[in-house]
Amino acid sequence: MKEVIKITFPSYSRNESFARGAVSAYAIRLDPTLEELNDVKAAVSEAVTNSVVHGYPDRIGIIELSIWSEKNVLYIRVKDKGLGIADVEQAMQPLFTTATDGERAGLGFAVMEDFCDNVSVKSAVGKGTVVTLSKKIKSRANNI
Amino acid sequence: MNTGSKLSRVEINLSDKTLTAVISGDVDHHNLQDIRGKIDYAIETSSARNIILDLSAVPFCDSSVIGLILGRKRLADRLGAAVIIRAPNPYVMKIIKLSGLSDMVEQAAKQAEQLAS
Ligand SMILES: Nc1ncnc2c1ncn2[C@@H]1O[C@H](COP(=O)(O)OP(=O)(O)O)[C@@H](O)[C@H]1O
Ligand SMILES: [Mg+2]
Repeated sequence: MKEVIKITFPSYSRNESFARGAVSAYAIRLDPTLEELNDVKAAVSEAVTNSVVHGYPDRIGIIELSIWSEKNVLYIRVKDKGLGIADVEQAMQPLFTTATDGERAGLGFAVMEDFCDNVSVKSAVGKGTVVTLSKKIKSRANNI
Repeated sequence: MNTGSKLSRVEINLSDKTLTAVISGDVDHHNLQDIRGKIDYAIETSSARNIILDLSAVPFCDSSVIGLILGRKRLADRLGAAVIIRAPNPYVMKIIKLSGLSDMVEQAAKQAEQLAS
């Protein structure tokens, strides 16, 4: 049976580090290198921050984080029931951002794509967004 | 392996025309809000011509750090000052490279990074 760990939390920005911590704690089982662990932490940080900032810009909503693995592939799913994305392809282009405060670089999806093996985004306007990340972990033991 | 996340702090050092902001701890969207305000206040109330963002004590960041750099650069440009990134660790450098801002990294750090990779 596939063991999925599911955590839901409110979209307070302080929970961005909580999500990274939860994913790190799980990923340790796969014996990642420090670089792999940092890659995974960054990718989940981007996905959760997007739900906080763009999914629920004007309210606190629920974010659902699911973590599982199959053999040495780590899967992370971040789901919100927020505003959704009208044009996913455009949103995923590096440097594209709808933020207007000049403090976002439009690089969240670029980090996810660069640091993971696969990024899938499903979104519907008014319904929410689901981002699924996967990354093959080359166990540290195999690198020594 | 340290998996805990650290609270970010920033310490401002001002000498002559150089303002150095030493940031420590993880940099993400959440703890950026505090760092940013402190750095901007320091920049605006000084007459510094060089602004150094010292990242040597930042173990981890996500792309929020790019927003931090670009936002400060915009303010500095307006005031006629330059922004330099100092001593990012190889992992933080990876994020900086992805954003195409490698040229803002101080040379010594860049060389050390190249040796390491
Ligand atoms: N969970 C989400 N809900 C709504 N919109 C999103 C979500 N995630 C991403 N987006 C949209 O995709 C754009 C690009 O995201 P990203 O690459 O992370 O850059 P940034 O967060 O810096 O804007 C965002 O500006 C936003 O318009
Ligand atoms: Mg983002």
